[in-house]
Order: sequence, then structure tokens, then C-alpha cells
Amino acid sequence: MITLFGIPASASTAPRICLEEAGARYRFVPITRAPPGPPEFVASSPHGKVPALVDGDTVVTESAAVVMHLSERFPAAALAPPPDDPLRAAWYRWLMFLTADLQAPLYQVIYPQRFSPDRLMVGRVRHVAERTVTERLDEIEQWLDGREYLVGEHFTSADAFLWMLVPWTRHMVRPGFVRPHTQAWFERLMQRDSIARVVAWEGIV
Amino acid sequence: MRLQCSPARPATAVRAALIEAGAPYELVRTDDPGPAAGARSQRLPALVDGDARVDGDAAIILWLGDRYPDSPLTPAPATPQRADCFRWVAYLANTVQTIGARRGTVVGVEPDIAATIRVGAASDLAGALEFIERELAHRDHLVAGRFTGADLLLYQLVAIELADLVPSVAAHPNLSAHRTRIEARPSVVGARAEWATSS
Repeated sequence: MITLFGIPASASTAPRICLEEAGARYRFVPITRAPPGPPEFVASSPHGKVPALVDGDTVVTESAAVVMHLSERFPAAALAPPPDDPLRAAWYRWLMFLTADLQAPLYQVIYPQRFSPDRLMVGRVRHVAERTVTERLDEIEQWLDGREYLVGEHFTSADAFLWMLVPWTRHMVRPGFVRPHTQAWFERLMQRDSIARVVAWEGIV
Repeated sequence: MRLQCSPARPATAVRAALIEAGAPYELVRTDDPGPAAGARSQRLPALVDGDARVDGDAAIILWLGDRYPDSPLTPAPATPQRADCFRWVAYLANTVQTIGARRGTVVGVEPDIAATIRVGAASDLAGALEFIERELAHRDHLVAGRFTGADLLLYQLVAIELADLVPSVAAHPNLSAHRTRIEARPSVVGARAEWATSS
């Protein structure tokens, strides 16, 4: 059975949505934010970060990597375009964009103290990061104009990844929700059974 | 295939990946990649491969791995090595490469905050390099037992993109050996020679 180590409403949310989409048999092991966590988690996550996924002989960390692994592990769930489809390129592009260009600066907005060696600068570091995140959210908003999903005509794990990140922006001056196309996309995805279940379990607002 | 690169940023990992794959391509140096399909603008490097459009070093390498499954860029599906390759590519893209991006955010901000961001970026890079150094202690490549496109990405970041931030290479003997190993690959030699002669 697959084991997903995670924290509710964190970077493990997108992998959990993928597992639910696939109808996979798995167990979710909640990790507290106080290190080091249970030994089986420590053995699986070299950084001590969530998510960590154990799938037989395969151990994988990094939310985007876990999502890519699950998308290939359960091809019937169509979480990714097939390898010979040109849309596969767009799927990779969006996942890498979301993890590097949106998720990474979002951590600076949420935990600015980790990124500022000078405590007096924390607020301004956050402000600069928020400006970057705002630009990325605007770019996504533009892309979602007239589109149901990020890649092609169907839900993919890239949508799950973005869906995970949008609530992380809720404390920003202009959260992702205030953009009409992003809001419509977000609410549409809320109707999916997989996401509705994860929302209920993880208490995502 | 057409690969668009910024004249200021040679995208060595992607061009070496194309050589590893044996994929013929046209190199176009430009600062203006033009619009992608739809409203979204492309980033550089950007690859046009028939109907496929993909931009960003990490995404291009992953795409080429699928497009050329006999190449060494990504391990075969349904193997633990493939998941580990995904882990490394994601980590390098969202943690190490973004350190360079953070430096880019200092344009137009006050000097004191720019200095703080730079110091923070350098400190985070030092931590990331320590982690990679430990991971390379008992193997030649990032994914145990084999070369992958993740090695090309690490090489590009350490040897080229973030070279000015990388503390003494001597302090990281495993990383230094990795760099030497990757730099000697014919694909990397070819990619560097191509850039030098095409400018």
C-alpha cells in the first residue's frame, strides 16, 4: 500500500488529491511540524519535509515530483497527457512553473523570516516576494481566461497543484481568489469529489 | 526543433540534453521569445517541437526525456530511479535555481533590502550545496547508479548560473568531482563549443 506522509493544508495536499483522483489504496500519515517525526518518515524524507511518498521500492519527496510519479503510476486516472502527446510538454511546463515560480516565492511570503537574515527587514522581504507572486497570479489569471483547465481540455495533476497553492495566497493584499477567472476555475474544481473529500479532511478554507 | 535562448544565458543544460538525445535542433538567440499559445508569454529557454511548446530548463529536460526514451535523460517509467530523477529536477528548479531568481527581484528595490535578499540567497545556496554534497558522498551522479538530465541541470546551476555565489569549490569535494565529471561529457563539451562559436 502507498504511504503519504503529510501535513493537512500543506504541500502534501496536491499529492493527496491525485491519490483520491486515482482511487488509490493509500494511508495518509499526518506529520506534526515539530521535528523529527516518526522514524519511517525520517527515513523517507532527507530534508524532513512533507510530502514524502513510499510506494513499494520507490520513495519520493518534493510535491511536484510526487505528483509526477503518481500521474504515471495511475495512467487510467489521466492525471497527465500521455508521453507522446504535445500537451505533455505543457504539463511539464506548468508543473515546473508552479513549483519554481509560484510555490517558491510563496514560501517567502508565508515565512519571510526564513529568508531574511536581518529581522528588521522581514516585512520588506515579504513585500518584494508578494510583488513577485502577484505577477505570477496575474499571469495565471490571463491564461485561465476562456479555459476550463491549465492544460488542454481536461483536469490534470497540474490543476491539483495550482489548486493547492491558491489558498496559500489568502493573506496577501490581492489573493488569488480575487481574480475572476481564477476564482471560477477554483470553485469549479471544488465540485470534484476528490477535492471535496480532501477539503473536508484537511479543513481547507 | 527550434530552441530559443537568451544571448545572456546559454541554457547549457538544455543544449547538452538535446545533444544527449541526438535531437537535431536550430539554435536561435533572442531576448524576445514571443507569445506562447494563448496569452501567456514564454520564458527562455523555449523549445518548439512540432506542436509541442515548452519553456524553462527543467521542463524542457523532462520533455526531452519522454520524447527520446532511449536517451539517458530520464530513467524508464515505473522505476524508483525515475521518481528520484523527478525529485532532483524539482528540487533543483524550486530551491537552487530560484535562488538566482530571488537575486533578480532586487531590481528596482532599495539598496538595503537588495543587500538583505542577496545575503539570504547566498546563505540558502550554501545550505543547499551542503545537502547536495552529502547526497553525492557515495555516488557519482544525483540518481544512484546512472547519469540523468538532473546532473546537467546541477552542472549549469553550480558552474555557470550561480557560480559567483558558490563558495569555494574546494569546500565541496564531491560536488567539485561531479562538476568535473559532467563537464567532461561530450554533450557538455559540445554545448559549450557551440555557444562559443555561434556568438
